[in-house]
Amino acid sequence: MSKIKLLLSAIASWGILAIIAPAIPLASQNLLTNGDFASGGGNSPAAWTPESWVSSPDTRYRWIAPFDNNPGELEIETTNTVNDARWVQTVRLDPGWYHIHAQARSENVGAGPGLAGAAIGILEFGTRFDQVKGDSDWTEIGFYLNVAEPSDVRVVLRLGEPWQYNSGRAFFRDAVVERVDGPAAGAQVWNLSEARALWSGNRLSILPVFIALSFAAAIGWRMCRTL
Amino acid sequence: MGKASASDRRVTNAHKKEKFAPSPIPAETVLPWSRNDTIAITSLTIVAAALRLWHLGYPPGPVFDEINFVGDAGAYLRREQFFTPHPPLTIQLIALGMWLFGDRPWSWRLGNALVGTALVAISYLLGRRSFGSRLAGALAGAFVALDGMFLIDSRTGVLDIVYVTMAALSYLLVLRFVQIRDSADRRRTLVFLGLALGLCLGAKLMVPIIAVILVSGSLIYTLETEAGVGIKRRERHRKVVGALLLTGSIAAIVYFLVFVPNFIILRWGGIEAWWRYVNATRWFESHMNAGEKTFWSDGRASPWWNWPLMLHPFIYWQRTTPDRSLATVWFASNPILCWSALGAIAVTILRLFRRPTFTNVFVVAGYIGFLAIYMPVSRTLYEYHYMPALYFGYLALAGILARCWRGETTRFEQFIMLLALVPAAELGLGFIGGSIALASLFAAWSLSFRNRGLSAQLVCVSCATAAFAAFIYFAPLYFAMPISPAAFQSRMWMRGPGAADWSCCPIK
Repeated sequence: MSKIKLLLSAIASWGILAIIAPAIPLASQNLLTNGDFASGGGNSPAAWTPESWVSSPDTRYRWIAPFDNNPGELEIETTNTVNDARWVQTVRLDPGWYHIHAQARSENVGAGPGLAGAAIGILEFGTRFDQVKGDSDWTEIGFYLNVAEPSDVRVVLRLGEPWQYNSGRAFFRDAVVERVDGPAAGAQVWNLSEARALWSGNRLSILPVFIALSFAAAIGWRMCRTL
Repeated sequence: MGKASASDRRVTNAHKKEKFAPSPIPAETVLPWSRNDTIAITSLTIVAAALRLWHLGYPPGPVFDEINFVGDAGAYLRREQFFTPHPPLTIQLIALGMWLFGDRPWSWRLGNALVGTALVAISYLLGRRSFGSRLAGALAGAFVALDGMFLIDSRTGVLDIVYVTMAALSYLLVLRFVQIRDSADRRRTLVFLGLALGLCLGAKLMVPIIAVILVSGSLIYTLETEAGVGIKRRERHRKVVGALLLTGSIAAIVYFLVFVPNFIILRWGGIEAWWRYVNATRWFESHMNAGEKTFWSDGRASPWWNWPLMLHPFIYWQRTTPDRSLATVWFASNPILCWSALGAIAVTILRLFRRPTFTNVFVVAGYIGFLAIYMPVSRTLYEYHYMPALYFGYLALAGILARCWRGETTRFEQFIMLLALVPAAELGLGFIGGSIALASLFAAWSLSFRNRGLSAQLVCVSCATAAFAAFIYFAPLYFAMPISPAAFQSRMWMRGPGAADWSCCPIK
């Protein structure tokens, strides 16, 4: 009898779980390592790497460890000059939709046109993301990413972009990459395959160009035997 | 030599016989290489290298457009996709320095410093060959060595020094082609010419096309006008087509080879990706040309007609040191040289009417061509766009001053050259000091009229000495040496308002 009860309760549990499971957001699993910036040593957070577009003594990176009830933060500061400065972490993403978001705030970040502010993004050419500029309080920023095939994606918390460099101080906390069913309505969406398609093509297609030009050069060489 | 002379005679006879052949513009005499050449080119190269390599790591951060091009170079090393409208040769040179010696300022700049040093040596060879004068060669090399724009662009990780150097190399090679007669030697020269032009095209967007036009025009003119005995028009055309095909094909091969690292390192997908780059560049340029006054527009910009008058050089980088001195990288020419070059171009144009030589036509066409390409451009332009035209200005200046030294200039030509010193004297020494200096100079020049050679030599020495003095005076602003704010202000000879402003816009 007890065995039957046990079996029934197990089936019931699995049934309930099967009903509830889709409702449990997959998002609860942050695919970033140390996305809450809780661990690290010295000035360096675990799993995050600072990277400057151009190395400069005027660009500084800082990890602010959690204290009291305050969560950990990452800071980027660029003074006297401009730069594209980022904290970077590479994550492996399977096919599907992802919500990539964080909280950011800015101090004295240039707000003019053509200046990129503080943002969370992926390091793919041609992509642009929500930004905070000027002097701003904590703001939730993020976007949705569609991944068609298993890919390594470089997630960045950055201040400035190439050709749209900026200066000032940017702070980030609670960075999250979570799997979702699909993008929220009206949210910013990027497709990884499309972003990577810009420079795609058959590398060997340059060979006929070299062959044709070499042939032309050979004809020219022959025609120039008497000059 | 005997062979060449016989060939020359054949060429001359051919022109007598060919009724409809256009008469050739005489090229200058080719000088044999001597010990003096070795001493001169070695000395110039050592001086140029010292000026370009000294304290190369300062400023310690990005200067002006280094934020773009050093950043692009870093992206190469990280295998990160990036876009720049310019072909990538110079960026690869910067990346090579970073790859070899690490990511630090002097390694960003080392490649350009070496290329800029090579330009001085090439200028010696070009001046010597252009004007058949070692003095002209030495002056051309010295002017490039002591000019602020050529110096600073050699000491920063930006684009222009590389394509200007490759263009200069192609001028040297085309002049060699014009002056030699041996077919095999000429054919080899065309191969190297294609190589230089390909590197030139691979280092900067669009602008090198003027070098290509100059070189192509020179080849066509030379081959069409120096027909040998019994050579028919069809044969001449065959030579022209062959020369253009050989040079053009090699230039195109080299140009595409410059992109090979993009195919390998950045995983560009062959010719399709290159074509997308071309389209992206067209979009980029059209949006700049459409007058989108966003981040492109700034007070440092100046229109093309500003440049020969040196009205609007600007500050690349500036910091206040702890002792309140100012360390500045001021992107400006040497004013004496810049204004004298304008005088020399004027004199060279006048000479074209009296005795057109191949060199004079080439120099004037190059100067005007590299200015003309910017005339229809509506996007923001900067003083550094004048560098390829100014290079021809320095060639002209070297040629004119060498002729002054030999006593081969008229008083009117000498007067024009002295006139070019007037603004510098008045602005640099003040009205009273400048007027006294100029009065003394013109008086000495007038008193030496009895000896024509002496008066011309006085002009040569005055220009050269003033240029050297100006280099010493402005050197702290070329090398970011800390000076007092008063000393900095005293060097800003033009302070606006309006177009004439030397002190514009230190970058934060």
